Amino acid sequence: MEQAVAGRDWSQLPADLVVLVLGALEVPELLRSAAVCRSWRAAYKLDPRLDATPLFRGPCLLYSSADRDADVATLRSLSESAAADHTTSTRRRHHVTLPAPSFRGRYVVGSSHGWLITADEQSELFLVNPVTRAQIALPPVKTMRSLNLRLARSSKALQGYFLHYMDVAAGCRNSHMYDLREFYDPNEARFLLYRRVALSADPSSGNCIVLIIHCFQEQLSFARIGDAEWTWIHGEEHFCHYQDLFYNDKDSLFYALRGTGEVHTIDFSGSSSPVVKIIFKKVVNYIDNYKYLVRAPRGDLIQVWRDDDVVDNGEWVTKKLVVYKMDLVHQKVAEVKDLQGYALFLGFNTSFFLPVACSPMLKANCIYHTDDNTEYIGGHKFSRRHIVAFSLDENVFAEFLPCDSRLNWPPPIWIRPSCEWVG
Amino acid sequence: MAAADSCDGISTSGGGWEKTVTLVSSDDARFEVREAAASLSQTVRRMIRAGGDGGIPLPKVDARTLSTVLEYCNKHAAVPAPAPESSSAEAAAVDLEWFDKELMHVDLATLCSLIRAADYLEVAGLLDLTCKTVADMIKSKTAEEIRQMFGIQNDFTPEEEEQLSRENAGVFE
Repeated sequence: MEQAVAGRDWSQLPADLVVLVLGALEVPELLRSAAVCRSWRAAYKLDPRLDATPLFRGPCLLYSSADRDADVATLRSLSESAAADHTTSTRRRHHVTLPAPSFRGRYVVGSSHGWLITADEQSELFLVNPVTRAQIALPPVKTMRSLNLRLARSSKALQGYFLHYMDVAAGCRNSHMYDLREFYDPNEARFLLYRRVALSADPSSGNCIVLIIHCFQEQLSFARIGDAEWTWIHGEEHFCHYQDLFYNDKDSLFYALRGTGEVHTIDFSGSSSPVVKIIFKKVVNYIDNYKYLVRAPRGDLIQVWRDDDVVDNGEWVTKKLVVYKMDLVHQKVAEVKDLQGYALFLGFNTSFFLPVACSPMLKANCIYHTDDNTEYIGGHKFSRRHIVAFSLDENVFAEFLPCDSRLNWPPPIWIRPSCEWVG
Repeated sequence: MAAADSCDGISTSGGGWEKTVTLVSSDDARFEVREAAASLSQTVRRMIRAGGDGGIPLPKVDARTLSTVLEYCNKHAAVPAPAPESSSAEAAAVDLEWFDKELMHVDLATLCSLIRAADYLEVAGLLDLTCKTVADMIKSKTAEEIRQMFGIQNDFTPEEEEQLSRENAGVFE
């Protein structure tokens, strides 16, 4: 009868059985359980299959896995080598069941500070941390100035949204355009409303500004965590046609890039409305490609220009990526061919550089890109999402992290997991 | 359980020709089981192969725990393998899932004994089931709630605890 008595004390469960129990847990519970007592922590630390710390060492690809439920997000850590994929020595894929609404119903529109920015099937935005399961709802979509609801006459059920053309200089709806507004289903509007999203900080700190690029004409709106509504940024006619943005911790400014290569800073430090400044003049007159903006490890501002191509089967693929360093003094760009020991991660995520040495899977002078063509994805949710490594030396694309169980929807995204709790 | 009609731990019983084996618990209770069911335990399967007199001794499992393990084995070994994706296969899967769920309605001490027994007897399916059951109970609980549930003492020093909460603060909120 020794078994039944010993069974009352779970701290006495042999280490190999603790490992089995912990192995059935998802990351949030795993991290909590590893802090229950010394023997559980020892079991967690000793078994490399359990250790979740690689998740926080490098970037992860986050996606929906065909062999899991619809509410589960899968994190594929790059901290372990590709060869380890076929062994059981370490766990490279972590699965986390996210809170409602269902993950597979969401459009993943960004990742920043370890959080995902997602839009549900009513086009409402949620921030969700895939490591802690924390979730924060952003102000309702109906509070955006460029949008009106269409409700059914009797039931008042939501039928869709009218998106209006806005006159950014006048600060009101555009009354000169022929087509004043367009109608979209609730689950379609998100593809126009959320082109890019960036956060100023970890939103769990409570002190975070969310800045979004939205249609029409790729204008800016923002909200602070806890705000009841979105605030549209207007005032000058050039406050539009933005393509990418990020927040710079060093000077507490958002940087936003227009399709012409022009760069603005947006300063939220004052008590009144944000102050927009042009810090870099336009490079081209016509917008014929997509441009990313990112801060290099040594502080330089970098633009990456992406050209797409339509291949035989009608699929849009990335044809070319060119990296430019911005010279703020001479207001010029110069092409860069050497990433100096860093890899660059592009896609829906806030772009980032990481040392190649942080993962055995990364190669020097490569850009790691996940498909993020918002115009194409909106109409082709389930077509193939490419994940590629683009070599600047050889000018070639190679498929990266091939995986049979990875679904094309929601769009896979790079994320750097974080479970920091500031303040 | 019927007394074993065997001389070497293996016998045929009743009208059928199905082989049975006798398992003996730590507290000397004897269980006659179909060999197909008992063989879900890799440990028992090896002992059947080795042969022996007077039943197979399982000194690490008491009668109460063993009877639950055998309930699991009998049910899972009884399920024939119908054509996959047929409606009967689906019904059998639902029935089995329901059975597993019912079987796991036990207190924590029993669950712990079952994990140990499933591990010792090497019944992979039951080990998986019991571990998943514990995992579900841990879900959405804080470290302190987990300690209370399992009756585990917090044996970290205050310094260690501070270090832990620094490591992954957000997860504990």
